[in-house]
Amino acid sequence: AAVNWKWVHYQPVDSMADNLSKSMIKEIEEKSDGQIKFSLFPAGQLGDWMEMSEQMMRGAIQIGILPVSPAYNKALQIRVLPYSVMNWNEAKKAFSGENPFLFEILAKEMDKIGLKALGVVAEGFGGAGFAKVPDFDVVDPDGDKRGLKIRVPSGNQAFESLAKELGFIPASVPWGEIYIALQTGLVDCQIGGQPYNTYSSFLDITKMWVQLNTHFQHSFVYMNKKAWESLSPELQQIVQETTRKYADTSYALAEAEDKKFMEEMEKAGIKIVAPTDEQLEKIASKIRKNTWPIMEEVIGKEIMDNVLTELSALK
Amino acid sequence: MIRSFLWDTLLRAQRIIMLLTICITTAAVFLEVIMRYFFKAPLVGIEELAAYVAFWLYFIGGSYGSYERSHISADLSQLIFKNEVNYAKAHFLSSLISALAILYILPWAYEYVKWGFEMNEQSRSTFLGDSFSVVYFQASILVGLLLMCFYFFVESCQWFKAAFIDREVPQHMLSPREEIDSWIG
Amino acid sequence: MDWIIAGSLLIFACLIFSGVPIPFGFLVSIIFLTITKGIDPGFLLPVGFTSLNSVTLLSMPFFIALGYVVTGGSIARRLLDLANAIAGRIPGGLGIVACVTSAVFGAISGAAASSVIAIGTIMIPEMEKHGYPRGYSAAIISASAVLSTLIPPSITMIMYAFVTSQSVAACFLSTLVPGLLLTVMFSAVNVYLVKTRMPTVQVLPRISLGEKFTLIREKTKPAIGGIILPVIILGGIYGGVMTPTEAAAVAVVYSLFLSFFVYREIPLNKALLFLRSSVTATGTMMLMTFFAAILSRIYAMEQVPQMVSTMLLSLTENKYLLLLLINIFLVFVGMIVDALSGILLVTPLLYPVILKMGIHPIHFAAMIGVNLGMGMLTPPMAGILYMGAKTGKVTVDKMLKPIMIFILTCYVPVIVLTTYWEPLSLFLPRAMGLIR
Ligand code: NA
Ligand code: NA
Repeated sequence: AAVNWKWVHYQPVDSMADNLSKSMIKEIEEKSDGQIKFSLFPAGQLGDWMEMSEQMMRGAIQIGILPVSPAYNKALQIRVLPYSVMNWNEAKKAFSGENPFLFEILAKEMDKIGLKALGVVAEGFGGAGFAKVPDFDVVDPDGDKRGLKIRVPSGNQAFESLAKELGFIPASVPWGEIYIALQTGLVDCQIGGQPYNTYSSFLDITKMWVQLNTHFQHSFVYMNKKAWESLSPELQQIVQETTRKYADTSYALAEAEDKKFMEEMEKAGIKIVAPTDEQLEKIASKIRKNTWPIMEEVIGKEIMDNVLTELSALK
Repeated sequence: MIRSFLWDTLLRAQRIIMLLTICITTAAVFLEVIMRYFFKAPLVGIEELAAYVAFWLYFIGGSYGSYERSHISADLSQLIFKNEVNYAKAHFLSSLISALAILYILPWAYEYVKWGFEMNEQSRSTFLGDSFSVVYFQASILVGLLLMCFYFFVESCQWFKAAFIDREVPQHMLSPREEIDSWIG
Repeated sequence: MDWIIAGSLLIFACLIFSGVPIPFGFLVSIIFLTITKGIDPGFLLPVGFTSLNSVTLLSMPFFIALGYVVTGGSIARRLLDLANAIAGRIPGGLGIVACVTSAVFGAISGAAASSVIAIGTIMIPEMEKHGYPRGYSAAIISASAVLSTLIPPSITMIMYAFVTSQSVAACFLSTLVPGLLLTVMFSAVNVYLVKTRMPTVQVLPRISLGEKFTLIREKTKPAIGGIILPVIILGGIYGGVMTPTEAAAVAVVYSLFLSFFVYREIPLNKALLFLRSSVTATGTMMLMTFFAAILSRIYAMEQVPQMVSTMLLSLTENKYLLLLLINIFLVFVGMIVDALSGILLVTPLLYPVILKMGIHPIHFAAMIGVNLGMGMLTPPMAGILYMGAKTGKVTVDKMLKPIMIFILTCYVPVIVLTTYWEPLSLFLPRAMGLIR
């Protein structure tokens, strides 16, 4: 019998995730000969990404392109482990290709909470948007940041620690108030998203963008495990191959997007700062030394060691 | 005797929780502001924790509203039913419907809390370096709904008595319950 | 439209009119949809929990507690004394004092009910002493009590911001100018009515400019503590010191400190009582929000907002006509439910169509705010009108004629202006760079 599944994502209509969703949906519907049908709910219509991720566990939503919520398995915080992969080349190797170890580690942890990972959709590298151009070096992690306040995603350990290591004061501001907080000076900077985020949400309020490459921002294409198991092997193959095929195109798209939106920001008069590899390495080694032990407690030593071994093999 | 002791104790317990939760949440957010400005050492995550604690405020407060009969309503029955007995009948019906509707979803709430325990769902935010189990806050929904169901059931009995047995409505039931003159009573 | 969806709305309407509290009207609709649409109930309570788990929404208990503390203390009386010293001696002065004080009080309190109680209790007897008919006094105080929801802070705007994920601070500002405009119009209509229709009203004897100056100075000192409150709240939010939630919490602590240690007028038991009673008010609102969030999620899953949007757009493509339709609908909603349930019920359904029409979300915030604000005065569901009658100890029918005058000469023009002249709501937030 034909199933009608809810497919969700949290990006705006006509964004990369939206277009990928539409392509995947179209091809699966065609190839499955109408046995699988989807209703697409774009732009977080069924809740924010964390909520939709949890709804997928419960089976109220069957499939989507979303980050994975760590609420039921803390190990999934590897997702935001700062300075694990440093550039596009490393990201691509770690999440797709011949030895996609980060994909596999995360897929295994997702399986434990009833989620089937199908592929990784790249979104970009994280950086920081400033409401003013400071007259001092913000990239040097040991430099004095003169009490600049930085908005981090609320209560997120990795970012809170990251902000402190960079020398800023982390602050909690609800998502809806970030724009005004930047405008009024409640905070001086926001961190946690790729150039596209800042371009689409904070363009008018941003004076400087620093591409710190804090972490590799990505979503998974994933689905409810029970829904997955209800499919015949043939249908499973169609879903797996189609989603993987389109997901693998996302790296080039996302890299181009990062570049494009940085250029757009520059056109809009925003100062773009791209730290050199040495500068990034200096930040990364400080973060690895001080933030990773904290993250290890959250994620677990075994997985963390595994990640570290694979990462060093990657370099 | 025993009944009124239990009744009073229940209400007192609710009042204590209500006062505690409003004080804790206010103090937590106030403290965050003070720490940020005077000590430059923000307690990141304390406001998010306060938002979790607020669930007890919301649901114990909401169930106390059932006791006080002060729920938000668009009641036109006072305009329609000039006759007291008909008015009482309408209220018997509406409080019974409320009680039954809550009764119907009590199993949902039970399953929800059970799932929370089994899966050990963690908070979205961290506080002092760690996330925490949210089931202790989700439990407020089950407790709140249980209390509401109880108060609505008691109320429907009172309206039943007024409508079908006494055939007159006691004056005090025509408006929300008077607020007592002390925080605890 | 899907008949099951229409059925769920019909059930909701029937239940709430027969006296089932609004949150449980939502609940029965939820149960009905769960059964008829075969929805797995397992995900419904989590939806409610996640929705309410919000730091933004946490400002609600604080602003409500603040309302209880300032209503219980003497902050309103002190503000009234000052306003009276300034404007009390011109013709129609007391009426002006009533609505200007309501506006200033509105910059402290987020709910209209606190304003009616705090200002009505003092002003209505005072106005009667000077020859104002009780019904009229109760009417002008009820009409201007709504300013509390238009002049920031405002719990209805917090609710709108919550439902649409917009910024609370920006939504607050959208209704400020309409609120100030209403204040001026109420005062003007009041002066006209006093001069032409109320010969009984006495004007206090004139005093010299020097005497007046001394009087104002005398009354300023006791009022300063209260005047600082809006500075803390609005200055805190728009000066980049605090988020709205933080500003609310700080205002609660400050007002307790002021009443308890400085004015020494609220004994400890009372202070605790105000805090504790405010929790009931918050709880009943949040319970309604909880079930409304679940119901709107079911509607979203059944793609009801898209249906409403298609239906409305199929009626007409003309933006002005659509806005007119939406306004008429909002007036109707305002007649039958209170402002908060109105927002919870209407916003998720109309929001997509608003965006499609190219209306700014903050502009729509002002439209909803003014419309549902007026709804607090329009029978049959007219919470603030009834509260005004209760506070002024008059029957509602004595208030109806003056309240209709205020609605027709003040509210209706302001609603039309807010709807069709975008800058009225967007100028301030734009000028401050708070929205795009
Ligand atoms: Na206000
Ligand atoms: Na009304």
